[in-house]
Amino acid sequence: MTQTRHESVPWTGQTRAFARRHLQQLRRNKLIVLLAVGWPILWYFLTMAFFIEEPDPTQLGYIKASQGITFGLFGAFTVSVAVFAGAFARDLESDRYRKLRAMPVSPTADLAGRFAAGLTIGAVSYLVTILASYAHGGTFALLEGSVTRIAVLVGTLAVTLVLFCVIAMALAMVLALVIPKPEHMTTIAVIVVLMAFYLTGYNGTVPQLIAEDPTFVNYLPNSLATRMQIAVWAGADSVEFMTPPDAPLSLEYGALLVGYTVGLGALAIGIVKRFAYGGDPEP
Amino acid sequence: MITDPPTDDDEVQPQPSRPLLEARNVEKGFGDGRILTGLDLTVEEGELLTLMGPNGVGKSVLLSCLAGSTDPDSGSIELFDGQSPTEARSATSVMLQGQSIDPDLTGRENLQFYGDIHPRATGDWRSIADQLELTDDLDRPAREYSGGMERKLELTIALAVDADCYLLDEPTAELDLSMIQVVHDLLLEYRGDGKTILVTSHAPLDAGIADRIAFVRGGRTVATGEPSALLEALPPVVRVRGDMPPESAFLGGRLFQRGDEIRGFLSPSAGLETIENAVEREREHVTVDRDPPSYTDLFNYYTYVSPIDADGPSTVADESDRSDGERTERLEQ
Repeated sequence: MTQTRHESVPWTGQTRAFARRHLQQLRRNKLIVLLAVGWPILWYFLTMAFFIEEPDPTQLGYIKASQGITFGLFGAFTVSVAVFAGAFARDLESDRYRKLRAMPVSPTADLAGRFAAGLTIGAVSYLVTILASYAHGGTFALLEGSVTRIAVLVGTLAVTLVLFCVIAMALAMVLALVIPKPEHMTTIAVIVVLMAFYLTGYNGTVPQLIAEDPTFVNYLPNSLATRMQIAVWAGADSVEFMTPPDAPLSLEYGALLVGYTVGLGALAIGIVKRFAYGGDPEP
Repeated sequence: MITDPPTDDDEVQPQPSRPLLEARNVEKGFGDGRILTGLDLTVEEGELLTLMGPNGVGKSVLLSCLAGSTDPDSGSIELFDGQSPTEARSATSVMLQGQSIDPDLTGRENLQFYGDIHPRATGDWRSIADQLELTDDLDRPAREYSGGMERKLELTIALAVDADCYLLDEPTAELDLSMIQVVHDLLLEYRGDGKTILVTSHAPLDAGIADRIAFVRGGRTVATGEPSALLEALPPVVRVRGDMPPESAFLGGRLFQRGDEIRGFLSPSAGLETIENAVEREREHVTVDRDPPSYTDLFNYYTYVSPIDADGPSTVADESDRSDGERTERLEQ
């Protein structure tokens, strides 16, 4: 027999293995590729063509940018939920965890690997949509600042995107538990994301659509992250179109987003430990 | 150099076998159904034990419990001198039928994934895949695999780990006869390297490679022993050709068809003439005779005929452990 390769369980190696496995699965899934790239760009152009009235020419660039960010996050949210919920539900339904539980696998490495894969495809979806918006004439104010300012803002955007995707994936795990039907998960995920999108006034970018007090768009995770990103990209002075309420740029709102991430991340760890690695499925 | 003559104390004594896995009074159920009902099992270090029983008897559930994948409701399981199944996972490798393969990955990607998450994975998968004639299909998506190919991939994944103990759930299921022989050769090779192997099966063919066989029925082990000893302990096997005798004439009221012959076990209170009287002997080509027991007879007896002993499993000792008197008496019976 060949000599053993490791004597302890390598957490980072396991994380890489899970991440690679999910990316390999996604590579062959044309529907997911379409959702990641085509879906948000399609919505961006449909919205610009049919739902935006003749704007003030000085505002057009900002509106295009805000729509790019809105649908970039919309795409990231959609693929994060669809990919994550689908993969988790599939592993639960096929009882693949029965084998994984019999191996020295760390549940948090499994989760981290899944998050990494979901985040990768979510980031691709986001960036592709932003690029489409930029090519279409969107005005992204941060690109016009100093290098330091750009670095700080890009860091803020990256962190909020990561937090946003982690929130989406944690919610996806709850969805996979409630509706353990992997074959329908993509459809269900798209419906859930669309509902969240419209019920929060296009993820908080058009709060005027909400009949009652729209303040809650600064507190729900999808609209909070979207509004924060638009304000960072375009600058607080250029987002009158999505006020009131005021753009969520204070530290309190950042802390709220981190709080959502920590809370839902803990929930995700609890779910994977209880239902995947602590489960006792029927034969 | 002159050495002292050997004394009795210097004689090499056979090493007593050491239990590597011990399950005691294991119970497990799902919902209202009880699957394991107080099962006992011991696997000695370095042995190949075949756990036999019909489908649905709880073999896979037991294997899940032994592997740390499922918690038993009660009872105890220890491996490697006191470790729980969960603690022993680094030193065990498990094949659970139909639950490992990711259909969205190729065979090679499946191998890579499971190899990357087990700390004792080796590069042996290449030679194992070669022996199982799987290499040419490794780059195909696993969803295109037949059942037999999935079994081969699952077995490759399990055997490509340098474990001390292998727990294999029906590794020969859905394989053709020649491939079953290859799998048997592989398992014997691992056993020869000192590995401990527990194989579940409902195929009598898998009994032939076992050092010991344990039969599961009604959620418990009903008999354990070396294959030869278990065969010796069987009631006489009667073979009938050319007629269908009444079931009531046989032990347990059960008959088994094999090809053109009917087989059953002779009741202790009945002789061969009882069966002969029950068939139409005048008919042409009707024959009634005793036949040496096969592994299929062994499987049929412990699966369908033998009474379940409420006090626990019967352990059948090897013939070498019996006195001549006992052996003669039993053979005469």
